[in-house]
Amino acid sequence: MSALLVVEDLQTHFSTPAGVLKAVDGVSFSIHEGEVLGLVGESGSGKSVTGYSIMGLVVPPGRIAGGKVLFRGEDLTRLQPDRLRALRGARIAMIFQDPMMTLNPVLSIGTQLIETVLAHRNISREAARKRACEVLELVGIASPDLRLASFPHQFSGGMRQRVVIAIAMLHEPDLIIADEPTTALDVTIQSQILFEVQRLRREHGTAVLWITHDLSVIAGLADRVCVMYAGSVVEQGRVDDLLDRPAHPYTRGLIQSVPSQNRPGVPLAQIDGMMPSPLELPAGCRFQPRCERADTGCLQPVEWTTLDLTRGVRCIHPVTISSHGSRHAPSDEERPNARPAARARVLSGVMSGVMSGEPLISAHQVSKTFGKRLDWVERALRRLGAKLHEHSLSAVDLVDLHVHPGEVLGLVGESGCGKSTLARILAGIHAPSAGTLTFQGRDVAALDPAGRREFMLRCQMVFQDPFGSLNPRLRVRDLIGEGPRVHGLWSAKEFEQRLDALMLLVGLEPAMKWRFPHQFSGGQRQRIAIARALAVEPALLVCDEAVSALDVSIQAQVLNLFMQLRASLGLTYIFISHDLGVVGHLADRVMVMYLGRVVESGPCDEVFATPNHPYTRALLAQVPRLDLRRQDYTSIKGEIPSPLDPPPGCRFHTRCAQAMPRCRTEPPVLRKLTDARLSACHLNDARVAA
Amino acid sequence: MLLLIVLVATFAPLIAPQNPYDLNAIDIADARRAPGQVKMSKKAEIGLQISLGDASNPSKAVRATRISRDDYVPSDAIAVTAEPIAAAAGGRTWRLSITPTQGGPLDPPDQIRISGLPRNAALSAGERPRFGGVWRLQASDLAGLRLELPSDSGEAGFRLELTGGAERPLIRYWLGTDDQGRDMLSAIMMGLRISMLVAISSVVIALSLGTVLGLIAAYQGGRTDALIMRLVDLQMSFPTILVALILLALIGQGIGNVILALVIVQWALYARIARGAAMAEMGKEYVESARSLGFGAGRIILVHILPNCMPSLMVIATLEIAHAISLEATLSFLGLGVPITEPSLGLLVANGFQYLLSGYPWISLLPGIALLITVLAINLVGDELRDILNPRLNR
Repeated sequence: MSALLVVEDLQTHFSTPAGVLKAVDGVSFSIHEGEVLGLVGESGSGKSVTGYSIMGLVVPPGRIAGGKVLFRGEDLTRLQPDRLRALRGARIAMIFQDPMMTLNPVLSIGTQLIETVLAHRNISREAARKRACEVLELVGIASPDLRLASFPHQFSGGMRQRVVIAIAMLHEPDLIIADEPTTALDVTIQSQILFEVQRLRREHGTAVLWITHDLSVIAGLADRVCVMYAGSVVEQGRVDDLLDRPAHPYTRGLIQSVPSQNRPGVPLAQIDGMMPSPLELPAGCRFQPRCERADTGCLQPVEWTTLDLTRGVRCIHPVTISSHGSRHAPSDEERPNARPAARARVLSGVMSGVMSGEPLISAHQVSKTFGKRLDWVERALRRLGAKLHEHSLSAVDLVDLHVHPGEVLGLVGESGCGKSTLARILAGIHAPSAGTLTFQGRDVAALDPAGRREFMLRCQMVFQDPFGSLNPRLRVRDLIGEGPRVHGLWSAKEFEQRLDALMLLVGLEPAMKWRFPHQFSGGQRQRIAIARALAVEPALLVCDEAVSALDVSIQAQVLNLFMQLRASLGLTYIFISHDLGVVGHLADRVMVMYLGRVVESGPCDEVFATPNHPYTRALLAQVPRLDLRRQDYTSIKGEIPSPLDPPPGCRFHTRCAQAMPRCRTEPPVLRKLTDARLSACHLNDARVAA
Repeated sequence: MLLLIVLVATFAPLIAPQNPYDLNAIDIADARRAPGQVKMSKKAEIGLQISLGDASNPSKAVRATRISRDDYVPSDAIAVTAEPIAAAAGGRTWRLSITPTQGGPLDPPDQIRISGLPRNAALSAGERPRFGGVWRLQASDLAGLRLELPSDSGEAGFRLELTGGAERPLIRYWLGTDDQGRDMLSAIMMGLRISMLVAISSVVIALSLGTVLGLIAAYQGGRTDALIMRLVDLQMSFPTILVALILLALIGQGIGNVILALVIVQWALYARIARGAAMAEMGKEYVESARSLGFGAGRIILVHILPNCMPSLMVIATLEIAHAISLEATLSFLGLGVPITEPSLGLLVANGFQYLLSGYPWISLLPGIALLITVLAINLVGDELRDILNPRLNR
């Protein structure tokens, strides 16, 4: 196997008014023919910039300041622009993260495909069109000649990413650089894309440089892994070696932060602190301020140590490589599949009180539809013959839910399943279109204004986007303190003290209260959002994908914070996530939703260990797991249907491998499987009857 | 540059060389002077009625009665004496001596006019009259001046008008004067003041009105939104100049009316922008969070939504000031804007329009250039503002 791409000591610098930003500082790795190299790092590590530098996409104020990128012997950094353009697209292709931004929204995908073909090959338009159809079939898009005329917005997210991969595959490149292509996609769609990529690799022998922050995806896909931190590579090696026996403390910390690697209910092993800003890099080893093994020797610049033929590490105190691994590596009894004993041990105190007593909040047959009703002008026009329809989006359909005080309920589902809408109904932001919501025994809809205000204050929400959920014009002090001030919860005298105490509680320095949100990192902003929610002393905290936008190590810190607050303040959580590992770590009970309906619910360990509903099974099967290497992804067929037009009967039947004729007509009802477990599937009836 | 313009405009009444509104200070004789010329003071003038004594009773008494005009020149600024000289056959000859006091206001003498002499009288120097009997003399003629009166004249007398004195420079017209004799520099400064006043107040009022309506439309949604937006569409479908013209034709001239017309024409733009920005902000999560914290609609709009809409509004408002100045100039040019006695830049341009190709181009050109520079400065500031405000939000 010859080396296809060799990156030697690459340096990419950005000139900013604040100084020279060394985004990539001495990165070296190589990719062989047909190999998949995973480039892992968190935000700010320089992994994306590395990908762009290889492709030559770095524009001023950035420039490649040093090093070589050898592609089959040619140095890409010193090539003539024409030659580089000839290579790009034909021999090296790139896939970006957001397919909506990669594809030109005003051109049909046919145009975009054909122009890519014609850019490198001198063939007729007809021949180019044929090639475009071929490659669309290759990535699994049905009836490609019809779809060529469609526009990007007419495709779903997963289909768009397939189109992007198709464009990349048009000239059968030797190397594909993929920059976080599945980060924005749902689990089932992600596994479809991974399946396609694996197939392409098998059939065409394309090498792939897969850039991501998700270790689990890398575990299943890559042959070798490179870990980057603050602009340089800290460890490199084969995937098994690196993930089972990490040498660098940072790699070890990253692996341990993944929730599935920890016993549920126990605080996650977290790496304290944050990645340093490229403008203020620490002297010597860059990880040294956060490393528990650091000593004075780490203050000197650290050289690369080659441990053996395939492994290297940039550390003078590597973790000893032994077959026992770290103390948190999952042993057989601690695997996610065998939990009941572990969880019971840890959460015994909470569990005993949970199932008894009145639920804190419960929803009974709650539905929410968003509709556009026609006004009189449009009704008149419709009578005259215009084609105007009333859209109605049934976001949540006949959902029953209850949460007991002190409990954590996990809500799991993919995009369009209505979990966000349900969360907002529970927090009081939307009112349900049908059904009743009961809080502390009282019907919310029947509350007087004072009672309603009380309800809203007692149920608070933490949102997903740490950037959009804070008003950019208010200081932290006002963001957190506005609620108590307006509702008179804190007197003027004690305001500052209580504010400081709250900030310390969520892990922020009180001195930072005069700053604006844009001066904080994502994790810190999420803490501000949590503090804001806690300031009004809620009983229930609804977390809508609160950690999804954060890096793995920051996610671990915030999850630990949630658990600590639960223990110290006695909060109840409704935790929404698409990441099953996170939900599995934190939640006592879990509810799985699909297209607005609940398909299964029950205690978390039981549902994850023995899933009943086909959808739950598919979800669990397709979640990438850290311990499954070079996994052969199986894909669940079909796309998630649009909530505007849900399938009749059981909403999952279009994608279910075990669909019966009955599933097409009759919606299944949630039935009890055991005392605590519910599932909505006609297959259960068959079993019960049998 | 904009700061300089604003300062000039604000303090114009204090720093302008000449007050263009003061009709007494303006002299029509100064009309259409080229830039850089100096207005010289008028020469001092004095008029005296001189009566000479009877020939039979020649006395040296020369009675001089003053008949001057308003400019005060003291009577002792000039000395007029007449001496009888031995007459030739029958007539009487006088030697006249007209001497302005040394260093006085009439020194040196310039033009002398003598009128009212009897029919056949003659002076030894100067231009003979053709009609009307006014002798014109130069200063050089005053030496050895003799008057010959015919014998049959009785009491003789004549009227003497003398102009003289040094010319003092009064005011330099840096930019020339317009056709009414107003100093262009002062007129431009005062005009700038009026233009900026009209533009800024109309923009501020339109901004407030439009923003309030836009925010209400965005927050209420539904029918209110539809109603307000239809009004906006209606407003924006008319050409602005046309609407302004018609309004001003109906309600008449005057600064207040001009401001009103500009407000009516502009508010729709701000309403639309405010509504768009507010709707974008309302979809963001921090507004949902504010709602879940139990804040009322008023608080959410004023504290959360409005400050985040301000950047785009401010940038547009700054650029619209320039637009309003141009619009007001156009209206004044067409005669429907501010009254003539309070010139704005547009009116100044209008005044000089007829002379543009007739040799006095500065009357129109200079206010036009001032207008250009002002609009340019405002546009540059608006661009800067956009750059300053945007990146911070994109962080």
